[in-house]
Amino acid sequence: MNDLINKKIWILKTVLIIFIIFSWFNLRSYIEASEISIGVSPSSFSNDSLMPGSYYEQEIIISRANPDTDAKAVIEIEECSVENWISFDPGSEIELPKNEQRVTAKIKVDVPEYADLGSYNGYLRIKLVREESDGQVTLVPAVRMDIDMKVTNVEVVDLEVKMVNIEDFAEGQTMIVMLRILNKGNVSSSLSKVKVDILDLDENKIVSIEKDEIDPVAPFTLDDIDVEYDNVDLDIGEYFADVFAYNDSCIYEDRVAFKVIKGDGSIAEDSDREIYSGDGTEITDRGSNKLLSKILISSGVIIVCILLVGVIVFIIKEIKERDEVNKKYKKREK
Amino acid sequence: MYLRKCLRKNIIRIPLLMVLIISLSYISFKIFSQEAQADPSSTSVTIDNEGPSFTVDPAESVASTSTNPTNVGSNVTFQATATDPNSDDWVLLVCNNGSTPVYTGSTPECNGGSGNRWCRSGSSVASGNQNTCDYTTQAGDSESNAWYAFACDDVTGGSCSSADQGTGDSGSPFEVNHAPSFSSASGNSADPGGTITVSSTASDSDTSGSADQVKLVVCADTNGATYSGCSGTQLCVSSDSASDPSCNFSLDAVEQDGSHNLYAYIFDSHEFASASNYITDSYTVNNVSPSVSGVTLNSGSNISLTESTTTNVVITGTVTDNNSCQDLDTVTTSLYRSAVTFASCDDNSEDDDDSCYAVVSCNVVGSGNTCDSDSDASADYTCTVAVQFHADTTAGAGSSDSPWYDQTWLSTIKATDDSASTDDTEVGSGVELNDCLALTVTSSIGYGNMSAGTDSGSSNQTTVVTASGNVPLDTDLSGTAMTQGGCAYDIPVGNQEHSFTTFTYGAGTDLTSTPTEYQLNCVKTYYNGGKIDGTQNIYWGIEIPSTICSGLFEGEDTVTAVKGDVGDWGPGGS
Repeated sequence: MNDLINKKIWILKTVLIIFIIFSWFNLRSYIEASEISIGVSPSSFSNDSLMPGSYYEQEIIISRANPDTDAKAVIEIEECSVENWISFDPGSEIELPKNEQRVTAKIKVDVPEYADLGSYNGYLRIKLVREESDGQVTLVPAVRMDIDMKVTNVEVVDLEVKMVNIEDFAEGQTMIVMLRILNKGNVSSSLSKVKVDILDLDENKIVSIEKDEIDPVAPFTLDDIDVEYDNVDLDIGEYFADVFAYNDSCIYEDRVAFKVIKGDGSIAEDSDREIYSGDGTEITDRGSNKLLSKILISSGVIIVCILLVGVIVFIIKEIKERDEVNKKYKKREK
Repeated sequence: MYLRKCLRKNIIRIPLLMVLIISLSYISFKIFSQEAQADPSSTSVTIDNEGPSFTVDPAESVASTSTNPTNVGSNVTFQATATDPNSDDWVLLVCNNGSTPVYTGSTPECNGGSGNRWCRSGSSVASGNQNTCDYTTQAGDSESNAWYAFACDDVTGGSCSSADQGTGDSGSPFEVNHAPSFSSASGNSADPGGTITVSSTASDSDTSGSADQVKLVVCADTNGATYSGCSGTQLCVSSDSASDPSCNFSLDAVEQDGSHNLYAYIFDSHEFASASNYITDSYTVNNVSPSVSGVTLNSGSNISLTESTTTNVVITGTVTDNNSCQDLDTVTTSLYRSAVTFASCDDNSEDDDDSCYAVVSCNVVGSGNTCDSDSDASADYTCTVAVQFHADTTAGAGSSDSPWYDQTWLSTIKATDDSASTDDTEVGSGVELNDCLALTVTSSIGYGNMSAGTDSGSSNQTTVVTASGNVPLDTDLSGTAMTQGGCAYDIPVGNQEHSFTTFTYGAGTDLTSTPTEYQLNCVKTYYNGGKIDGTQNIYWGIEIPSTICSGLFEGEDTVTAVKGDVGDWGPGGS
């Protein structure tokens, strides 16, 4: 009797545990599904050196960690006296597609020529709008970006080099140094000079070149500026370049690597080893690579010849067989 | 007819007659001959044997001179033509002295014995013909060796001509070239692009004419070599040197490190190889440290994070190794807030999702500057770092914007080659990590079933707000009236109350239709050995008007994330 009761209790306990586990998972998934989120980066729209007539745009990232449904972000401007200066790209309603965690938008400001100098503040409220409602009171998550603008007539020059790069180039061609420059100032500005020290792989300086006519960067813009150097007499090979960017004084330096390649895009790999006798006389090395390549070429030629002969023999055989068949046929006809 | 009859009759008589005539003739001849010998008064002469004499002077078929000596082990071939007055066959004998040879039987030998003999022709030749003999030079031979040639007839107790040393270069003496001595060769070590010197210990003692010099030929394989160079791959060749020659060769600018065999050969001025050829040694291409350059972080752009999750930040760089890009073992990157520094973010134990992402693996790019071969020095690498949403922002112009407003984020790429040599380079210009203003909230408030004219009392509904960006939160709250389609009454927005602590209805703050900012004081989510969420509860209550329709009423409340104050940045920012 006791055994029977214990058995029933055991079964009940098991069912209860399974039920609790099942319920917990359901509850957990329910809780997770009932959370909603939105984020924006950066959190403010600010510029303290706008000039009358200037234009400024700022990229923002609107994000959702769990974009399990389509949604919209609606941007509203609040408490801002210069609302008509501000616009949005692609608009004040931004589609947030399902499965896309990040959507890029732009906030743009066109400062009128007649704008008064001074500070302009306000808010941008970005609300996440969904189709469905979740209960008695649907909670709408939103983020509030501060607008913090200042119109000034003081010119600000503020260049910052973010990176440099030298693409590989063919021997005898122009060397192009790309500088990614952020102009944080409110006037178009350019670097005063870009100097490049070219080093071999042992870091011995080969040549130093510089240029002082550099294309300008528009205000509030991150832009790639190419600086071209003609007549850089470098052999095919790999090099380092120490790049120095000047805005009167040196504001950036970095080392990059690049290759001078053949016209066909390859880099020489069959360079002969330089051999010197004891008295320094150079002696050419007939490397085994060349011998190997000759053997390979010869082998290839032989194989091709054998194949050709085979094909010719085959064709002749075929022609003969056809002739014989034709002859037999004619005999039968006769 | 008569003749026939006669023959038939004498057929037996004729042969008998012929036998008789012949016998008589023989007997007569014998008698006359004996008479002639026995007679002492008859004329006679005895002719002595005479030695042959050279008609063409003896000579070395290839003149062995001080400028063209015969290498040890090679033959000196002597040749001459002689005639013998007795028409005897003759033998060529070449000795190291000019004394008259002696005969043993019909064999001539140099005076003093075979030890004084350079060579003797293997067979005799008829008078008037040329004869030759070869001498194989020995290591023990002197450099200069006088010789004397004799023409000897090939008869028992024969005799020889007088000694003849020939004339000019092909005449005596013949010169012997000894092999150079060669005891050691050794290569040194150098960096890629440097110069390897192969030294040797070698000399040559020959001085006839002028002192012999020695030359070093160094090959990369065992295919053999001559004075002119290697049959296979040649490393270097020295000039002629009095002793201990050496030679140099340049390593390629890109060369894999390690030891490489070399095979050294020594030859003398007469292109004669040393008996010790070849000697095997090695040279070493040193390992050199890799070099990291051109490090970029997020292409130079500011970093914007994704709320509640990670954002991939790409770091690139070029790694150059003069032992070839294939020499590289690992390439890793660290991404950190500038005040942290690479020194404090170069080990996984220092990982901190707020400020340090250490030792993240990098990969060679799939196209562009890939690692093509062992002669390719450089390759571009790309590294992807998954940055958490709560990583410290460095954006802003003052401390009210961020505790780290005066910093940037930096990355360093570190390369390690297969010899554990390393290099690390930091990005040339840091980038800002933007602030990410974000929140996660419960999606709805359910007040449940209530009767008209009642309120929620002390039973609050709870909304959990989580800081799902990298800033602390305050909040703007606003709402709409709750309505029901077809009902003339609604629940005004002000009937909802809220508080950040639990409350009894009436003690909360009325919700407004226009957003109102409140000090939520939700701290930034941060890292402390694990993620610590910044969360804050909003408690809600409601009063139902006394006159209202029954049924479900719905509304919409807006919870807006507002960037929090300086004091809410949490442990990292305080």
